[in-house]
Amino acid sequence: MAKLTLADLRKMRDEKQKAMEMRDSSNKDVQVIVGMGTCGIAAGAKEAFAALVDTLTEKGLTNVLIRQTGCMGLCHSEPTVEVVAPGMPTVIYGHVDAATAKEIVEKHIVGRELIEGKILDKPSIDIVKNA
Amino acid sequence: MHASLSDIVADVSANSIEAGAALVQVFVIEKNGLIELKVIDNGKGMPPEIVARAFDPFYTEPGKHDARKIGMGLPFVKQTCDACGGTVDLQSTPGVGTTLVCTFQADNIDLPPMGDLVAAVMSLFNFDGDFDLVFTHVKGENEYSISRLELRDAVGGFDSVEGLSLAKEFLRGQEESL
Repeated sequence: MAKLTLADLRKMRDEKQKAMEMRDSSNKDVQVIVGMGTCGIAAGAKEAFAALVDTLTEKGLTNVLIRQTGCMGLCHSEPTVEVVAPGMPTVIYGHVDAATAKEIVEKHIVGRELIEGKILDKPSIDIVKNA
Repeated sequence: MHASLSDIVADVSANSIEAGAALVQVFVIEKNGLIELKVIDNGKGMPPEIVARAFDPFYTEPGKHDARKIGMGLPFVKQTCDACGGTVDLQSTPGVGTTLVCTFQADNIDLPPMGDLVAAVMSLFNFDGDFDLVFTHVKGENEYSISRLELRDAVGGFDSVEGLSLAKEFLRGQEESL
């Protein structure tokens, strides 16, 4: 891979039409939050984070914000990834390896379906709202 | 124990960000048969009684986590250093900041692999806030250094897929040039 300078990056950013949307966070209607506490990192959160970025890039999805948080108290099920998408319940997936991260993008974010067997927690507030 | 040195980099540097540092300097120096990890921050610092217990896995800083009584980050670092003939030194002053220096013997059979340093730095840059984090990687005679704020300005932000993707490409290029 060619070594890029910051000036190269600015040029690449400006050349990409999609990248123009990045300064406007109003079009980002999906949030993906990765647990990056010590427990998450030890369990492979860094790899899950990288896989999410790679898959979202491959799919050309520009409506997703990627954030991270510390330990959510779910150390037993790290790495954890929370997905907040409009019209869908907020879900925390557990034991998210690179393959599951890819599945989250393809099935949950693109396909708008929950991934059976991977859901660790579904905050009750969503159940109440949707009842 | 963390599976890779890059996991340690991600973990201990995150402590500095969480300590409210405006500037975090992270050095990974691979030279003369040693790997040195140095993290210097100007965060809130710790009083001596907390520094004294920082490597105790059954202790965590009061108020950091509700109802949680363990803190594994620094104990993992010490465990790795102890396992592979390294050293660890933690200095901190309340209101001034904290410096952590660890060394590892590069040829020790128990040394974890470096792992994905690019993903570690990307995840650190992705933290919310306007803090700066200057990452420097020295490998023999070669090195590069990158400031989070400069890179953020160049790629437009680290919370978007586009920004993270450009940052990754930049960091991969820097790593491959070492």
